[in-house]
Amino acid sequence: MSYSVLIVDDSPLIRSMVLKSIAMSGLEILASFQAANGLEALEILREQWIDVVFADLNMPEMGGIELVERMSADSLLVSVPVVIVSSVRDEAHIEALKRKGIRAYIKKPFRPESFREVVEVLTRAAEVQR
Amino acid sequence: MSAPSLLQRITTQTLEEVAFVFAFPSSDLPCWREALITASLDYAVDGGPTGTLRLACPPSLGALVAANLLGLDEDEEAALAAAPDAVGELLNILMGVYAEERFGSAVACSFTPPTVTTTCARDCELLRASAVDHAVLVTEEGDDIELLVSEG
Repeated sequence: MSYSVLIVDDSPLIRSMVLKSIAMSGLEILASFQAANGLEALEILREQWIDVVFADLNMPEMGGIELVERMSADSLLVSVPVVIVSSVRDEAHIEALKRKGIRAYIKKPFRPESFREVVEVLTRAAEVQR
Repeated sequence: MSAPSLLQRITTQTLEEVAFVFAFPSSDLPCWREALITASLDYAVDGGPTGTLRLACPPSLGALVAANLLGLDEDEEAALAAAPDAVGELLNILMGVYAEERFGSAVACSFTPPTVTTTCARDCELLRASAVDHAVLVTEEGDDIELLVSEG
């Protein structure tokens, strides 16, 4: 299976790192899109088919939490899984994010395999739901 | 030689894991001779201290980290241009690891995105005087890295 991914981070360096790691993880990428903040991400999500969003938390204009909230309130986007990729590591923050609707969390520094493992879990969960 | 401090240990591990840069704790103060890249961020621990974590290093180290993150040669224009971004991201990752190691994963710790500036040796000396924690490392390539924590 191949995936269309959207990488959301204000740092071009991190977007490149995440994309490189996804490729290294062995996941087959059909298409990749990049956004510098949540607002740009929403524009892309309304125009492109995206299988999974990898988003940072702290970004200018619109951060990862507001992006998740806006997607949860949009009937067309609510089913698109969002994975937060962040250096915040405390359980209180991660649990709060899960209650807001994120599907998974990848802590920095990350291993490339983390991306494949998370996407495989999300894919299995989606199959069970169907 | 004394055991590495928390800051030295996590910086060594993070640099190696993130950027394949090998660094070693140093007990000597760095002798900065050029403009430095300095990244800083503020943190707030739930029910605990607020503070600032800073990282200073020469641009050559920033370029090396950027090059390794992006799979480029460190002399390439793109690596040199990405050096400040790379130092900021390195500090961002270090902060997450530092918070977890120092305060525990059960304690909420928020931190701001890093701010990256160019500073001089004198700025570092002033910050060092008020720091509650301080660490110096030297990379295999001979670049110094200085970390400073100030609180209150």
